[in-house]
Amino acid sequence: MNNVLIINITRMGDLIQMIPLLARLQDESPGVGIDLIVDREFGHMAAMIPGIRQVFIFDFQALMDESRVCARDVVSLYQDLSHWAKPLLQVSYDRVINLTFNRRSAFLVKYLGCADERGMTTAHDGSFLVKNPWMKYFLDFHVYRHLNRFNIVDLFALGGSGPGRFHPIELFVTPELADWARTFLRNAGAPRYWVGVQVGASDPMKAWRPEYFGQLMAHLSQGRNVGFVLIGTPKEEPSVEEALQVYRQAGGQGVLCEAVGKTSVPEVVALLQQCQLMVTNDTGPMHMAVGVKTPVVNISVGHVDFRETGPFGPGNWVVQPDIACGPCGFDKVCPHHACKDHLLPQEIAGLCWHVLGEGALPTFSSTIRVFEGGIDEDHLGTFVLRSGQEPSVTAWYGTFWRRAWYEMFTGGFSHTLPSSSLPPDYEEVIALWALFAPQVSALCQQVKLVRSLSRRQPVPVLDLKEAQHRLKEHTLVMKELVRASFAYGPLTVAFIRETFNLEGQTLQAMTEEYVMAAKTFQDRVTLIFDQLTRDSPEPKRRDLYASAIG
Amino acid sequence: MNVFQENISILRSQDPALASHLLNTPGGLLSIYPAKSGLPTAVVNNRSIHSAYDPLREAEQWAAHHAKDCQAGEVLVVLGLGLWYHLEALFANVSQDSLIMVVVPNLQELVDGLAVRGLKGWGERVKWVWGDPESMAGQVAQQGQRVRLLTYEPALSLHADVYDAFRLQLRQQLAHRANGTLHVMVVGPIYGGSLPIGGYVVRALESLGHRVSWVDHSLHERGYQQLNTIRDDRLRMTVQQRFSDTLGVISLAHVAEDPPDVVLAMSQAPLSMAVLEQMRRKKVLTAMWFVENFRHLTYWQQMIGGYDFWFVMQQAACLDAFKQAGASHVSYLPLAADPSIHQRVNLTEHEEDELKADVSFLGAGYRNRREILPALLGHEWTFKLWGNEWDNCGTLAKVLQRNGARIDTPTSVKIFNGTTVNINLHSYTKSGFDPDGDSVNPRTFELASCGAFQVIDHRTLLPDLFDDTMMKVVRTPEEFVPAINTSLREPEQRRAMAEASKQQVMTSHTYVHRMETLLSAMGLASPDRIGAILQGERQAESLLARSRESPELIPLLNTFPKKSRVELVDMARAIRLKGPEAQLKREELLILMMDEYRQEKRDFL
Repeated sequence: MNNVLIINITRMGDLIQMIPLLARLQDESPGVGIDLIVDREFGHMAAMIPGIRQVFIFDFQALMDESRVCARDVVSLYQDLSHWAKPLLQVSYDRVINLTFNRRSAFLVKYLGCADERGMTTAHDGSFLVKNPWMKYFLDFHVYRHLNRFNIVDLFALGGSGPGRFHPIELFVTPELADWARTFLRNAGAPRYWVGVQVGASDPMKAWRPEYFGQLMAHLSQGRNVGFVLIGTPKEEPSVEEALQVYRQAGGQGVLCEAVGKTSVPEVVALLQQCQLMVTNDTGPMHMAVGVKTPVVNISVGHVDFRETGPFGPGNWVVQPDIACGPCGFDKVCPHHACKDHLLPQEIAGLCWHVLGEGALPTFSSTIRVFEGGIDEDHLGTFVLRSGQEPSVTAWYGTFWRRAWYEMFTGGFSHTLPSSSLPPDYEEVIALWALFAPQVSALCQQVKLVRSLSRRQPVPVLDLKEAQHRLKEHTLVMKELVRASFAYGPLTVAFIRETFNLEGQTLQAMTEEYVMAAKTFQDRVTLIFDQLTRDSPEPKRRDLYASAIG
Repeated sequence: MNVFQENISILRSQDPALASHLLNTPGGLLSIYPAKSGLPTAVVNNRSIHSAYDPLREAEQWAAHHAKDCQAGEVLVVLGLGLWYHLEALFANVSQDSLIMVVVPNLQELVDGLAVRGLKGWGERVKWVWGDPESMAGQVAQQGQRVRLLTYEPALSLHADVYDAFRLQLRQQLAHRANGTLHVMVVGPIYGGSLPIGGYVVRALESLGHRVSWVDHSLHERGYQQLNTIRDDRLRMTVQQRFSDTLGVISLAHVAEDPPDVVLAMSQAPLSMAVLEQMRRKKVLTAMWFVENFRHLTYWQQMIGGYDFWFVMQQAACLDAFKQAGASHVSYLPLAADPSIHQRVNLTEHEEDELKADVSFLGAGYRNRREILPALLGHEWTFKLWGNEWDNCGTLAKVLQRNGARIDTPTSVKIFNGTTVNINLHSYTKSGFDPDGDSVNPRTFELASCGAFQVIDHRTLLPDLFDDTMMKVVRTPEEFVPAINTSLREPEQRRAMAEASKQQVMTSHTYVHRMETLLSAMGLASPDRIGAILQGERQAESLLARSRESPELIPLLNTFPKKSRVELVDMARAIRLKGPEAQLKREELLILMMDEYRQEKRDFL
């Protein structure tokens, strides 16, 4: 494989989180040339990423603005875009990896035309497809979000390349920038520790309350020689001001270096490199800190699930409130933000001192969970619970599905420890199996019927439509049946994804794909049932139910 | 051969008539003297036309600034001649294929230039436009291409009135040639005088064939008025502001859902600067028709940077004030009438009983009216007073109709028709006539459109719109009574004047005329967007002509009727209609990709 193209247009965090993928690609094919398409807004960030051969920048925002209001005619818009894309067409890419999960990037993937497409693309008629099982998982895991144990970093690496060695996120800071950062900080003071603080966030739902940041800083500064580097965009200035007001009122003693709205993206990275710790919401700068090996304490509130987007790798920590409603859905409009009040600033300050090597891991109240980042046996990023408790069902199934998906998608074995006990909802699993297994069998039969009808000449259109309608209804019934089941629900979602992912150009080709998908589903369902009931003390009962699947 | 003769020789080959005229035209308009750099420069009445130090460098800067906006296929029309250093520089900065037309408002100026500066090497490519403003405009308009006006201000100010007349003529001629259709979003106020005008604007634009989206905030008037129950002034004003801000965000949502080519706001449309800024960031073009007295209502000063185009109903001091405040484009646009609404009507017997009178006035109870109108009482004619805000009006109370209720438009039209002599007295918050009275109110046009006779107070802008064969003009309040007496005794003259004023409205003062002017002005100021659309450059046949570099688009463009406007949304729709059996080509994938970007809305709010 000589040439790979990555499309990563929409978010700065995604750009940083794809860095281990680049290393994985080099492991897969040493010397491979990796090109990158980014939006103009992230051009500076792309320049700090090692391992990119060429960055193709386009002003997609301008395209959006101009096309919406017809500022330019369609011919000139097309000519600009096709002129920009021309060099891409001249490279014969062996693989195109689309890490931008939206419809517009899917068209770009198809336009480029490559045999090995990963991520969102389109079929021949412009309908949307997702290629690669990890990429499909990425699109759907939000349905059973609490069960996900894969960081986006690993999903990108696994989907874009495959399993392999652990690679950390690494950003390159030029010596000139590093000098600039040292000088910038020196002008503010010379404390023993510099702590980077990101008070703001792109979404207020995931921003811890500014006054708590202020209190945290005040606690950290008590009797200790610490300085704070405040970073953020100009829009975040009001939040930072609020934090600083509380900090001063609470007797904060540390040196302040205010860099909010005063720095470029590369300068923020350089500043974070000079810090010994960063305390942050779930933000782009959090990943920057990880990229320059500055340990991170991540405040994970609102709709953030740190397992997806948390700071990647060892040396980083996450604090999460123990609250029934969290993490909440992306569409949630929360009137109280009570999760933020569960995290006590003085406790987080204690964690910070532990991370700085100045004290043992403190004890925490029951309202908080504390996780430490690490690497698991499959060389994937992981988080280990160090304080607090997780609901037993989600914890159990989280571990279960982490192994199951890994083995299903890689075709290999997971080296992580399997759950040693039966699932906490074992009785429900068995009871539901009695209903679910026959549904799965019937589904496979229905799919085969559709295939046989589609093979007839001439095609019996009315019968075929009727059969397709029954198949659709059957699928919906089955989906509803297992919606609440952590045992069977995730697989059903994956199967439904496959039914929307048919590439065949003819009816017959599509029904063949459908049959394959149903067969795979049935095999996986059987496998999962086996794994769930492996340790059952009632083998006869297990065999009886297993036979229900036919 | 001297420079002048050489130049004439060049001009003779391009335009023999011009050369012949120049030979018979004396110079002496420009005073020529050497600049510090040694090159000739010019002064008129102590005003420099070019730099006294380095006219070449000044010209290069001017040309570089303007050339960056010039696009292929445009006719570049330069206003401002002088010694044309800027023209030479412009030629050097634009493509060789560009057509540059230079408007010559005064041949004397050209003669002065020809005596000291050569045309060789570039002047052969200039098209000189000369004559009266109408014929000059015709010469430009008939090129049939997109027009971009470039102004060299120091020389333009020498003949500002000629250039203004030229611009007006050009706008009108281009408007008549325009066959492209726009999508205009009209945003109205919550209530007030500009609300009905918004309605007329919508109808006029639609009758011109444009697609109009009407954001009608009058639906929220009741809620807004309810806020008056809050007694504390500060609280009430805060809440009213928030209410208004929310309506602005609603307007923004409408723009996001169905982006127009231009947003046209009427006076007091609830669009805050924050909303207008957001529209600007999203490249939405915005215009405001400010139908208020700029001296009395001054909120425009805070809004000046919010709109791309301003249209005002006053001239001179108003235009100057707006330009000084920073308006990028401001144009005079008087009010008008809608003949489909303001028309002759017959009254029923019952209506006549209520609405008919010898003399009527319809309007709000401003101070000057309260003081002047009592003079109309106690005469042999019947006098009826209509309108609101007439509380405690003293002797006028006995002629106040319907207890001072607000009068709707249909009733207004009947009152105008049923009245023999309509009094049209412009409002003023002090006594007498407004000494600065310039703009002409909508009632003037509406009365005329109804074919109704009116006696009107003098306004400085009135003679340009209606002459004294069309309405009776009084210059002092004392003249009202004699004017009414005379008018009542001369029915034939009344009818002739009313008919003449009606014809004048039909010829020149309908909202359709105003919208043609407005769009044409915007087209001239935005030649690559509004101008291009109006000139039909977004139509299929025009796009086909520009697809030479991208022949792969031709088959798709050929599926559209030649004269239909084709945008990205239309191309994408045509591709999608191919259905699931289609095998999409590369160019179709790119079109669909762009269309996905076009459909994004989340960043709008």
